[in-house]
Amino acid sequence: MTIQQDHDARVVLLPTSRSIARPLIAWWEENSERRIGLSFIAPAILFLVLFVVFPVFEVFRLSMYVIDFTTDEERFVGIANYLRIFQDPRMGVIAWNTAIWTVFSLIGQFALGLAAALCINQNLPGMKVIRTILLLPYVVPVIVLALFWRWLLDGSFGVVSAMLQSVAVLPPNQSPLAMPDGAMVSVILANIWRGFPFVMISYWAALQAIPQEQYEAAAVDGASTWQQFRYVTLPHLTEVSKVMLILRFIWTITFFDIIWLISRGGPGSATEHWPIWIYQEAMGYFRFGTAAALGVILAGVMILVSAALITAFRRKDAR
Amino acid sequence: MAPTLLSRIATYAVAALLVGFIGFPLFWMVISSLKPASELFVYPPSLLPSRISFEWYQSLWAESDALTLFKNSLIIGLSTTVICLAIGTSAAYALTRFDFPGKGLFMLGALLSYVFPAVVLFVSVFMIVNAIGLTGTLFGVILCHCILTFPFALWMLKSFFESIPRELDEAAWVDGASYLLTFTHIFLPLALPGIFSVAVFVFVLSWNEFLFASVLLTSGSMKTIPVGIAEFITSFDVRWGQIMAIGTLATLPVVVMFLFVQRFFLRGVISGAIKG
Amino acid sequence: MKNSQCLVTPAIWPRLRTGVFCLAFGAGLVQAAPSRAVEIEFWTNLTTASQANVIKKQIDSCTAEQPDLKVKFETVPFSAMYTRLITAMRNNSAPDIMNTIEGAVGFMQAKKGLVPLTDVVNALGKDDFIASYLSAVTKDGQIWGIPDWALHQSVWYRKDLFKEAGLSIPKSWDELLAAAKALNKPAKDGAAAQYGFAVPMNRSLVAPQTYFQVFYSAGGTIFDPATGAYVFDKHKDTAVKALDFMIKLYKEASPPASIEWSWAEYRTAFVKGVVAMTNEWGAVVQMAAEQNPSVMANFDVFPFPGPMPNKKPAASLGGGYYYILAKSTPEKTEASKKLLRCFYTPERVAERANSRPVFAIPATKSAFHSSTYQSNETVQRFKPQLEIIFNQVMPSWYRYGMEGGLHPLAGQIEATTFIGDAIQSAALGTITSEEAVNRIATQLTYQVELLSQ
Repeated sequence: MTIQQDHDARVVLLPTSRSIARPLIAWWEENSERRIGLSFIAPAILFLVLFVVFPVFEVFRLSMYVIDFTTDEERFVGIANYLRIFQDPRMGVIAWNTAIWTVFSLIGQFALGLAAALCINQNLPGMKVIRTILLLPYVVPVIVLALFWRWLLDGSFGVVSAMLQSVAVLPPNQSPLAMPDGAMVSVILANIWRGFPFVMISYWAALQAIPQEQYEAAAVDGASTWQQFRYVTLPHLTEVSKVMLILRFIWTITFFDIIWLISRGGPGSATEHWPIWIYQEAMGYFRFGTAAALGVILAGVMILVSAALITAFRRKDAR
Repeated sequence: MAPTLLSRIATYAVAALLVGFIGFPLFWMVISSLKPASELFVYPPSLLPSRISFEWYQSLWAESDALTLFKNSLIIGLSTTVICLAIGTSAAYALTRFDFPGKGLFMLGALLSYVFPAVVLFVSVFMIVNAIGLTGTLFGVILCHCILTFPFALWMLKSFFESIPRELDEAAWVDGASYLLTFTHIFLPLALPGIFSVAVFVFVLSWNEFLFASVLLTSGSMKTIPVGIAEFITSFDVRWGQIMAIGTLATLPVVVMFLFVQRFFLRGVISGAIKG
Repeated sequence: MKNSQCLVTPAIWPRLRTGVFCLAFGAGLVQAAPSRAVEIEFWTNLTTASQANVIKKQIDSCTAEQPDLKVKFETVPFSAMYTRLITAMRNNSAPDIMNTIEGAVGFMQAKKGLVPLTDVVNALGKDDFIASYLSAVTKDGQIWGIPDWALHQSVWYRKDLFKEAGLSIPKSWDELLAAAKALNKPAKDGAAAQYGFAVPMNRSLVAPQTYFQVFYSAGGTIFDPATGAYVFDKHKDTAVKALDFMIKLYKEASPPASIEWSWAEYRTAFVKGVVAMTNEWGAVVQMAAEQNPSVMANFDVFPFPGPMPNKKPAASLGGGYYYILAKSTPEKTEASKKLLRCFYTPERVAERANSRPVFAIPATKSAFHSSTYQSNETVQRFKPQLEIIFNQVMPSWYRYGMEGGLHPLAGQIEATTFIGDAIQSAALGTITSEEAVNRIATQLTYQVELLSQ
């Protein structure tokens, strides 16, 4: 057995068999750049394989078993978990809630994020402070957000509920959280509050990258503010928007914490969405096989929608 | 665009609305934590208290283990950041500087890890961490937080690193510097703003993470802040004033940290974006 | 990235071997270190400092009697309890002594994780304990927990408002509804609206607590108290009637937001005068002491009535804190039992109950009548109310799923939200009460089947 040592002082363990060793050693010595690349990425590969790829396969596998959590016994049941999920009368409601939650959160976050980015992009006095304030939701812990959201909406003493009651949008002593639609609106607003800084920052960075000359050239050509926005600004934002849309879609559709902490999925499952269903199956009923199956279905939906979005974007680009 | 008066007014108007939307809940939380009980529960609620009371903070001090929570969140947050960045920077460096067998496969694997975020992998990650025997340890939570943050950290780092010209590294290699030295002495200093901004991102994610921290920690001495607060609420006799006080206390450090760091954070975001 | 030279040649194997041996030896040394002290783990669900500190003090004074005993004390919030217990049991690190609520007792016992405590109870004097608290934790002829203090639900009401409206104590559902409606007052310049009766129905934990109070008062149960057989289906009519009444009370006398109220909200409501009556566990006393002391003098209590005026309520929803022993080594079990016996002098029991006066009432007669208990200021102030609860409410109560003795169903109900879900939907009107009861029944049957395997 031989030991190879390169000037990077990283050492490799080689097999003893000479027939494998010789060509490998030869390749290794010839492709110094390649192996350095591999060396740099080795820990990440290990990490990914152990803690991402393996869990992914494990989730698929677990979804086909019924598991007793305390004894670790597993019983293979094939697609029984999936069948039970699709036959569950609640599936339709939960899927619908998830869709509403995702779509409206995204709309709100992008609208507010773009508006905010356009504002802070201006070089006006006070914008730096405003920018700082608008970034704050990003660092506020979700549990704190959930708590003061509930306090604002308390039916008897909450200031927002009081305002809504005073203009007769709400009946007296009523809270939006006690009404199915109101609860969904409340959690979506909380999600918009929380998520839009990320969109804002991404748009702002993209706006900063637009060369000033393009605006000046457009102004010289006689373009109005709106036309400048439409023909100079927007094209530069499409790339960022596409990437962010997919990312925020993935994050929103799987966001568990905020709804659970605000409303627990109530009232009467009005705000129960897919991640809460997963959590209840796992930590309430301890039915891990079903929870895994729910996870697989959610992942499937995400892949399909992301693929559809990417294809749609590609087609637009090709035009 | 030279701002006209109209556009200035419009900008400030929109900004005012946004600041109101963001700032009012935070303001309300802080002001509620300072209202005495007699003024907290009135209808209609008053905007400002007639006198400031620290009674809620005092009751928290007597009753809670806030210091332990902060310590744990800090340890977990810093460890997650260090580990995640260590693995992530070297991986992103490899991806942007080298060609190696399996690069495409790795990118696919990284993409896979976006598509399967926490809640989806929750069950199997939980059982794996259990099988390794890391439940009830801080390291188990650190590991989970790394899993949660690594895909996006990798992606962000890759886009930052792409914006740093490869020629600099190549010049160093041609001059005979070892790959490792180039990475540590030439590349990393340039990439610092980007790395820093990703570090902030990872730290904040870990600081605020609730699901795994609540499920994996079996000991009271290892609770993190989000878990501590959530459990505080469901104990049988909590009052709103106390809740607002603990919320304020939990938000303050992160806000302060962020204020110090935001300049680097923003610089990093910009530098990453300019090169696309 | 360091200069790591790992020479893996055939010559390394002896070194590796030695290394492994060294590690194993070292580990063995650490474990074999003679530990003269027996160390046990003690968990309590009582996270508030006032209660936890009393227990800690008692541990300290009791370990003084057992010098070899080291106790590791920890507070574990109720909401995290089940998750942590499961994880701990998987790691074989379940705590030796637990001070917990009856649902967790059923949970642990079903997993065969407990040591029976019949001998300790008998040694302490079985008749001293209020029978209902012992029967809740009895199974297969054994007692699995020692009652610490009682949880109890009754109707707390404002006697000044009753006097003003000329009302007497309601003795039936109809009278309760009438009284509640009579106490509704609209909002008037500066004063908030007042409602007659709070009906909190938070999806998680609170909805079942409210509902089962009504269900039990009408004589319904999930299991038969005598035979332990599953009988919820036989009580479906009662269940529907109870749900109908609860929803009627909600719609006609409770703030609309109460559909998702949890403990903080409805207690605040009563203490702040938003509701005139509430079905509650006695915590409003301490809350009022802190937030609205002047109103405390107007608090009074009556047992939640049954449906018929000439018939007393069959039972109430209660609960209790117990001490249980997890399976462990014989010497740890012996040490733990000794510690528990030390814990159960009337004075110590009274002291623990007094760490949260009125909310916690001793489940032993000797402790209730002890001077330690009776000399507490709050106890003296609320003596008539405590007598009512001790004599009329505490002797007859159940916990959902444990009417026939210990059963893990109680824990399962608490870990999930299917009951709260059905109740909220019925209150919103999206399903009928019959449909809600059917859903609950289906899920209960399914759970019982699952748990009996």
